[in-house]
Amino acid sequence: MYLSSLILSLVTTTIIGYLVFLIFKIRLGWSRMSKLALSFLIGSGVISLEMLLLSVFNIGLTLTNILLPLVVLLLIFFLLNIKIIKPKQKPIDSKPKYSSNVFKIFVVIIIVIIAFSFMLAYFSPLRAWDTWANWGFKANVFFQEKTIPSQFFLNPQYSYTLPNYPLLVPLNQTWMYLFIDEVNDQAVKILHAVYFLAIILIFYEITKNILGKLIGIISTCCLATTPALVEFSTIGWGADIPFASFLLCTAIFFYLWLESKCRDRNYLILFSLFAGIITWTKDKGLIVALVILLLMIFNSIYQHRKTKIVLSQISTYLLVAAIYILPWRIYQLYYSPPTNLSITSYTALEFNLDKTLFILNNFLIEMFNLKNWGILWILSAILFLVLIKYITKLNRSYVYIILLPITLGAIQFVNYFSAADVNWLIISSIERFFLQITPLAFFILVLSYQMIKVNKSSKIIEN
Amino acid sequence: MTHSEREIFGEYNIPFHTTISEVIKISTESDSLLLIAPRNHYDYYYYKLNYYLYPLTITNLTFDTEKQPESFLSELNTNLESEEPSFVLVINNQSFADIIPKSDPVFDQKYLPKIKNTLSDYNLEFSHMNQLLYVSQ
Repeated sequence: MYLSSLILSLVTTTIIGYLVFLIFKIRLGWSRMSKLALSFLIGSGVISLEMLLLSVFNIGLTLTNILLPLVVLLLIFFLLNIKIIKPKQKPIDSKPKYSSNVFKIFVVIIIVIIAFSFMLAYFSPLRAWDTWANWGFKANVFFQEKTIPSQFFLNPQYSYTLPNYPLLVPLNQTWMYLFIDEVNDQAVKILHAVYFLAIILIFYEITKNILGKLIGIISTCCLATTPALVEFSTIGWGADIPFASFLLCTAIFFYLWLESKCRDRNYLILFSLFAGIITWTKDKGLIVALVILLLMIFNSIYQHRKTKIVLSQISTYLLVAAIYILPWRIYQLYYSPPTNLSITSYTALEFNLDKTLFILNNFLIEMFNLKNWGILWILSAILFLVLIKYITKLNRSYVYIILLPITLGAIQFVNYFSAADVNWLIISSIERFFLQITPLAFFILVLSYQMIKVNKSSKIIEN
Repeated sequence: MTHSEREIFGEYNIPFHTTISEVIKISTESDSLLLIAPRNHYDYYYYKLNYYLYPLTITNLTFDTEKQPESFLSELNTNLESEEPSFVLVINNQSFADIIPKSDPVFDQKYLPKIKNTLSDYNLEFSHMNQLLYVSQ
């Protein structure tokens, strides 16, 4: 009964996410499993945002109150669109089904890792400080109060709970508590394992579409076996795994949109949605949303695209992303200390310049820490060296995607300069920074491999 | 409280956590709690108690056994007067989050008798729960 309630909360999240697919009439030629994974990610964003809005309007956080508006919305949608929705014909796969033993072995490895991650998340004790001191505590309070108490974030007794952090993760946990009808911080650790599963499914779908099934499954296996990713998916720590999943989705759909010559509306809505949700997961998400906006503008100027179309696309992006960006920012104006996105002063930079080598050194040590990241960064370094040969022939969409982790890394790096205790900050945050960008880094690896392949074959044709 | 049983199972710091279920039982009947803990890792206990005892008001005082207890006692007096805690919890564990905890003998010698005296002035009797924990009753 207890476990089934927990599963029901996850299923409901996925159904709500799927509702967004229907409302925006998003058509993706993706497999059912990866669509479900996307639906879960979108659903977690929708529910948490709705919970914030209900609290603002003094409506209690109960299952009925949360689900009722969504059911009404669903009914209205079906009444209005009943003739329009037609199940999309599945394209007939002309290629033979890939079922080599090698493929099957990789599938088994991935399934074992995912099962291991779920079991460890569900059965292992709480291990991480932040799990209960920050994220878990908020979820606990929201569940007990059946609202987000307006004065909670301003209460000095709870100032250590990082009151300015966005609430997607705690509200997701509260949502699960509502289903199981009690606070069980250990059980909700399963949430991160679900995010991990979503990352794996989405990553496999995209790599399979780009490089084929075999390379797709091999690279997915590499991602799934990254030790730090597996570990963090089991301890329910913070918002890093959800952030990584939203960052991956933003990058994937932005890339696909660019590759469709900025024409595909489905991709535009999806990356806008994920760029919005990522800001609701961690403040750092605002940087991602901003970089995407700047790249959209730059790309339009570079391609001399029609102003009317560009404006319409940018407005769509801003409108969809604003659904997630604005409510929390407005809420913060009244009930929360200012956001912790700090801009390092020039004086602090100058004063701390002697830290540069120390920070760089730690960055590199963590990067090539095989125990945490496996072969990810070694492979990246090798592919980077190979790609230098083709520097003038690099696909522009690829370059744009690379700019995302580079910008996040640069911001992370600059932030260290303003820290009073840089040693502590580095130890506590470098690992998590790499964790956040790991799925995206693997996606970039896949694109790099494709780039090398394309350039090599065009060289052969030229010869 | 729905957590206490799992709490015993769920963490490393066994003596603290095997006792916390008792603490929870007593403190849920209190209006406010004063936590006295070592300065270098009081936050662990403070956050933990906030988590499990929400919405109970918890204040905390920290001690540093390398210093003389006078300023601490003055803070304690101020707190007892202003907050009027109905429950006082003292944690003397110098070995944070380790499996084998370690009490600080300096605390037992220099601080504890004076804390007991001060508390008795406010009608807070003190009892010894184990080598690390003292609670008022």
